[in-house]
Amino acid sequence: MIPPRWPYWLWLSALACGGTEAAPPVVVPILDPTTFEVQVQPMLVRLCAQTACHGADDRAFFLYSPFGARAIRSTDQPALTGAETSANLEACRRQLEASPDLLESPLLKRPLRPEAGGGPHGGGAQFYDRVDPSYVLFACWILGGGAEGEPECRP
Amino acid sequence: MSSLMILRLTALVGVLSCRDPNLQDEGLAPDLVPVPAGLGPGDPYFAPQPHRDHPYAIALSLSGDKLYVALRGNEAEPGREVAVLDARSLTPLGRIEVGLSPNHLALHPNGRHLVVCNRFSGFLSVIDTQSDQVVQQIPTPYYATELVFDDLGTRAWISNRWLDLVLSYDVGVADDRLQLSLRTPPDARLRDRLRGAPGIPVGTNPRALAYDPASERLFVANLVDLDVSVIDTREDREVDRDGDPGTTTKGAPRGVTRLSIGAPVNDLLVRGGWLYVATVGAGTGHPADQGPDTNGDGLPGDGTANLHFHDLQNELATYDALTLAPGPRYTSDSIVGILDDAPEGSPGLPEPEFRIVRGALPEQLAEGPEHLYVVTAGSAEVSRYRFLEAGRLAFERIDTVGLFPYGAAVDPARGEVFVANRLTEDITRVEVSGNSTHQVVGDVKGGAFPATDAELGEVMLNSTALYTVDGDATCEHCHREGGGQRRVASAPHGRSPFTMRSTPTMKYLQQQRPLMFENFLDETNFSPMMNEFGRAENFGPGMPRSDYPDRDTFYLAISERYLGRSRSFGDALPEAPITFEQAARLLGLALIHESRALPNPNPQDTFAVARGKMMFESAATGCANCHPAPEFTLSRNFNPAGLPLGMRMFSGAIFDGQDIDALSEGAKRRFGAEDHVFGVPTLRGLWDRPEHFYHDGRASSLVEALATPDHPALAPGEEGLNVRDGVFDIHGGTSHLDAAELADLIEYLRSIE
Ligand code: HEC
Ligand code: HEC
Repeated sequence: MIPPRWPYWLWLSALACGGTEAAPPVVVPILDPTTFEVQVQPMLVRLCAQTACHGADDRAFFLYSPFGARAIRSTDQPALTGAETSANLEACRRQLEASPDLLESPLLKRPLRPEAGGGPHGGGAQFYDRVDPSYVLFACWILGGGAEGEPECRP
Repeated sequence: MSSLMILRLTALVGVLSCRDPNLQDEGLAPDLVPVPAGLGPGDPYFAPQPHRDHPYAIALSLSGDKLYVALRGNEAEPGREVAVLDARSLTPLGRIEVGLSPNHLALHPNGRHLVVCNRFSGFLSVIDTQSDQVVQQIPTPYYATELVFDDLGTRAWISNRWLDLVLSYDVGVADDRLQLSLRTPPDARLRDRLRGAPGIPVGTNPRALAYDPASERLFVANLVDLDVSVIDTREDREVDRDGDPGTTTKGAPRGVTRLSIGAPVNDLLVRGGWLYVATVGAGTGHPADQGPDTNGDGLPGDGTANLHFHDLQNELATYDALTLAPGPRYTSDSIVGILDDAPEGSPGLPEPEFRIVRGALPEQLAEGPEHLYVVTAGSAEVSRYRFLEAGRLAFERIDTVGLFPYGAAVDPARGEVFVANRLTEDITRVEVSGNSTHQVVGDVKGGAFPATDAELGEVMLNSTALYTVDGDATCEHCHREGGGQRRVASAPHGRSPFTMRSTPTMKYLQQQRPLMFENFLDETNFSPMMNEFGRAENFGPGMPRSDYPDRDTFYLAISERYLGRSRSFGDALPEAPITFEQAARLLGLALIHESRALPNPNPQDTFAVARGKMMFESAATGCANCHPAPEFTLSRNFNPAGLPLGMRMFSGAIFDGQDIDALSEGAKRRFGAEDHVFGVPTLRGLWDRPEHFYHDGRASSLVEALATPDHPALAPGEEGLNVRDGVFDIHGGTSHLDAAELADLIEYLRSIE
């Protein structure tokens, strides 16, 4: 069971007898490339890709960012190139590979605040809890909207 | 005429032990903290108000001998008690302590457990009707609004106003305790699943629920979205009304078309395969400017598309519960002065057999073995209709109850109906014969209602119909529960007959003066609004109200009849006879006295809210210049930077070649208002409003309202409206924000109380 933010867990405790899980584990990530480029990547660049963090190219989870690590030399190209974007998407995919339950994958768990069931994360908590709109935006891209794929998924 | 008998009970009120001593509060979410009333002692209009209990929902025990009345209180002073009465003698038996602001009572089919929805508490209270004690507190998200059981009592659904969801539960009874376990419907949104509150997404402010055992469908009234969500409970999934995956109702899951009622959906009832809907009328559909010349411009009509407020109606709509095909739609008598003199068969005039709905503002429905009972809140009445075949109804009688009634419960064996009256603090029992008995259940220690000028104003606001020409319209027809609705209404101050304005809330007005989108109306004189309900020219010889020589005589007589006085109290406004002008001032006073703000359950302390707040206050967005905290608006008494109160934001909207944002010359002269200039609406309470923003309702979501065209946050089919004449960022800078940042900004807006 996902430990949601207090006091949500109190409502969940009411489920105990029914044993209903709030979100069933989802195995196959969706990872739509357009959503990645338009919505997800700008957020990752802002929250994660600092040069001391996932913008350092020796990191297992490494991200290109417009003013950090680049695959191209030219400095008059502020936007990430298609190749850089694809590389960033692949970096995310690799972080999801080993996780049968995507909500428990490093991408969706480590940057989450420990009080909300996340961590450990050297870069500190980036998502307050699992209903943080940035987390939901990220999770929507990974999971699709719901168990079956794609109902309404706006944060 | 119903005979009226007031019971003066001297019997000692028994004190019930409120709750089971074993009951635990530990582990329950804390109650929400009410938002204080609008005015404080510093304001010249402030006057102390007596405490009131505001009886709201009502339920009868299975045997019919006990009556339970939820004392909801108001927003600033919520109650936390349910009163118990002997249903025969109406003797108060005591009070039971429940959660904060009890809103609804639902008796489990086993007849033993009465479940109380408490809107400001994170739990349901379960009353054991044998001991009249609260025996369980079952956690559920704040703003549980109504609960309905299926006929066997093995399932239950709760409408939730905060999350705009219906939560679906399996129900069991073990060791005399109710067991509720939450289901996860297939269309639950990811965010709601992650929140631990997976529910069926429905429309804005879901309120009434009705379950049909035959079709296994649940009907959900989306109060201010003007439609009904139909849920197939076998799958807990919303039914697509038109079966066309290519069409979607605004705000609904993709491909779902909801059952549109065209007006606020106040209550629902299912019986014999028919769905009955209490609503207020979708308009006549007659052409603009039709009818007699009532504004003296030499042309037919009064210059507006909806004949001012005269076409507000009171309706009972019916639908086949299975096919959802409409059955008869019953409406009120007339549109005063326009259609009631028109020959039968005139366009817009329904056949006489459909013009049977009496009273104003059908608020609640209740059923007896052969009858439908309709509480009409605005006219202080309950009416009785006989169920005929195929959804048809026949009017039988109408009886007066207390002021601003809400809940109704029927004793099927005796054919009696009990009604809870919010303003007069009492209940009314109406017998089959029409004999009625009133019993005070609320708080009259500060004097019988009304006791102050602001309370007089509450009558004008909530029981407006009493003061109207034909007794059928109230402010609440459009401003449901003091809020707005997802609809534009014709604006009498527009130059074009097509001028439409979105319906805003009537909340937080103490810091919004002057009022209206155009910032032109002074709260101390609400006469332009009141005027739409009772125009002076309708009184006197040869006019619809020829029984009164003029409007003021009518106002004085109505006040005497319903309030037992014809002068105001003088505690907040100068004491004066309750003429039309004084009534309009009292109304304005009531509007600013109560903020009517609901406490906001959204957390204030998350990263997203903090990030959003920083953006809101940044120079790059500029939001806080025009929407400064804590009022998030600019007004005559709140304008920290001394900015102009009105400004031009968007291009004037054009409809049928006419500029529908321009004001009539009369309005400009009278109020000193300007064309295309709009005030800054408050952002308070945004979390609870229908997503229908700006003066003309052009934005259907906050993202649409704030995003520039082509903003990455826009979903397919959405339009970014932060643009004028091709220039972006005219309403605060947002083009530089990424999708997640705009989501953070919106998260902040939704955290504002
Ligand atoms: C036909 C629907 C309708 C009815 C009935 C109605 N209103 Fe309104 N109300 C509106 C619309 C539309 C506006 C916006 C008009 C504008 O600003 O130009 C509005 C605006 C207001 C505002 C301004 C709110 C603000 O934020 O400035 C107040 C206050 C208000 N109405 C109170 C009332 C009262 C009191 C009554 C009853 C006497 C009433 N309304 C009846 C539709 C209605
Ligand atoms: C120059 C002053 C100004 C600035 C800056 C500004 N607003 Fe507004 N805002 C207004 C005005 C005026 C309206 C009403 C416009 C109309 O109805 O046509 C409005 C309307 C709104 C509404 C719709 C409210 C409703 O009830 O319909 C929202 C939401 C809003 N603003 C949020 C924001 C945010 C967020 C920002 C910063 C990105 C912002 N505003 C910046 C003046 C401003």
